[in-house]
Amino acid sequence: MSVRRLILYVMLTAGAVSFIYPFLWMGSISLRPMTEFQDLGLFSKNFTLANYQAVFDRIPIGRAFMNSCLIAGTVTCSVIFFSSLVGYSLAKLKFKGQGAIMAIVMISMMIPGQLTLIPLYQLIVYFGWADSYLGLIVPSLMSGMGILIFRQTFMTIPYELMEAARMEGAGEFQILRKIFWPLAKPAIVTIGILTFMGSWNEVLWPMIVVHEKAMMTLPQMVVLFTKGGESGGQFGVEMAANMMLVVPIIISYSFFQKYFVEALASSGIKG
Amino acid sequence: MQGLELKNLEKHYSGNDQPTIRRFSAKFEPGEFVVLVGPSGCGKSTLLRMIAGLVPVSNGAINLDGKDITNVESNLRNISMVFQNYALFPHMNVYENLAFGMRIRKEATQTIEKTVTEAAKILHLQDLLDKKPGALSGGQRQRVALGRAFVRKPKVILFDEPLSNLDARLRIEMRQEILKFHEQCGAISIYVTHDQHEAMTMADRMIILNQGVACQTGTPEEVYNNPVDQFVAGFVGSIPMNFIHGRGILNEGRSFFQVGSYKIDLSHIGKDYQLDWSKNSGGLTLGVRPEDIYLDEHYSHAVAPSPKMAAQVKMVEYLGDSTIVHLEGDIGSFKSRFNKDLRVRKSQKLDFVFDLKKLHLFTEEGNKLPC
Repeated sequence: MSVRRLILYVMLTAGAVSFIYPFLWMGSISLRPMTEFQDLGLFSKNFTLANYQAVFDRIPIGRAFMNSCLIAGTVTCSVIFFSSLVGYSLAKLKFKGQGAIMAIVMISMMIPGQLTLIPLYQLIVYFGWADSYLGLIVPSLMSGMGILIFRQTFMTIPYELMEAARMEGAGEFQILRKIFWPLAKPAIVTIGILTFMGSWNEVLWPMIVVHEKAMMTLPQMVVLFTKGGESGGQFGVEMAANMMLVVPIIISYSFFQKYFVEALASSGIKG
Repeated sequence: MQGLELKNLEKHYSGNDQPTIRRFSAKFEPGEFVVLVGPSGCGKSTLLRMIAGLVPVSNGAINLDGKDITNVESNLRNISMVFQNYALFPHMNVYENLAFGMRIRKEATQTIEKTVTEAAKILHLQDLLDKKPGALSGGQRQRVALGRAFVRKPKVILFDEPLSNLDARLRIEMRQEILKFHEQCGAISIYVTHDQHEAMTMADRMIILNQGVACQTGTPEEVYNNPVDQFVAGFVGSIPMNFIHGRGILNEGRSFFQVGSYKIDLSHIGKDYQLDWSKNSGGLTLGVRPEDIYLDEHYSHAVAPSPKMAAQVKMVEYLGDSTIVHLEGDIGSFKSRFNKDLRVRKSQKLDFVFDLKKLHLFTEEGNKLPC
């Protein structure tokens, strides 16, 4: 091994460790008694699930977990479904106003989400959706980024495949379902992960529209728990709550990582 | 009427001044193999897509077995199409590709299995049914595309340059496969290509298209021997026809073709033109195929020789079965095809003659004068 390569490996390893160590330490602390929270090592003889038990005892985290699963799951499915419909029509069909729709999609991606918070909240209150699943789900049913990724992916699929399917009697939705979706698996996985992560980690919007504990999402609950004082400043318990927040994302990412990287590389979009 | 009839078909695309297809009419008999041939951009693929129902018709009508199908959905026309890039669904195996249309039409599983098995047997695809298109060779993909057309039992099969992605050797093999497949199907086959050689070797009848207009329809022999205009004459033939630009002159009541000091009495071509050349600029183009040019005194008695002319050999292309010789003379540049045994050298000066019985004459506008 050349010296250059050795230096490269050392640098990469140092980078990887600096990224992964805090996370591993968080996992370790969540499994250790309160007395060890100043220990920067990863191992202990006193591993325990007491912190997790404490989280479950103090807040309805199970309910919040289910709420988050429901909301992030619904939003992800809906974004994939609706964005692929729009992406398909923008990429493969010809109709008046196509350019204008594309421009609106692009503009919607440029406007910071914080700017729309107040009008969106007023709209949700007007519809009577505050403190409900609808208030959490409906504003995120479609995504500009999803539309863009689908459009770019579908543009690479030859028209002849559509025409061949059309000559066999397939309608537009059948073409999308039987040809385009299977061929756009990497894009679906990418949009799925990005949307799921975005929805799962969303704190600001749930904080605004939801005040009842039964309707709260997991990150909202964890933030309120750790910052609102319910954790009693117990570091291990806070870390346990945080672990419960990030583990589902890490598991889903590790499953779909291959597709994710592939789609980001081919669509030219940064994650 | 049985068969396919196209009546005055037109296609206008918005933004284009000229129509892509102009008043195209043709009839296709059942079992016929017709090749639409023309240069790139002449509208042949558009015409095929209009027949398929993938492109709407601007004017005119399409009748199939007496029924007007001009505005019928493409899947209800009983027409199949083999695409240039095969258009096989990459995520499905060969079986699923063949079964796709039947599944869409919700046909019974047993019928699907029987039809796919039959198609696979005819096209030698039995061992490939589990493979995905990505794992197949070009020829195998082509056969799957043919199979997909076959399972519909269509009345018309459209081929959109299906061999253009294959190498030369495989192309020759697949030509035979397609013709065999056409015989087995018994459908009308309309085959689009820009390769006139492919057209000549495959067609029962060929239609030459140029700028959206059908220039000539006929058997390959008719089109090759009696082209209706200069475009067809120049387009058909693996080595293009030589065109020699000169003038028509009238001398003592006889018409001559003249270029420089070289003169041909047109009465020898078989018709005494007696044309008043002074009415137009007198521009005339003489067309002669490379195989109708002979070395002086090397021609047979069947040839009616023109006055001889001198030319210098500029380049020699040895093809194995024949030799193409590029020549430069007083009449300009031209090419000749000689027997493989006849060896000529570069820069050699030789005398040539044309076979007067095989000459073609075109006006300045490219129209053919009767010979």
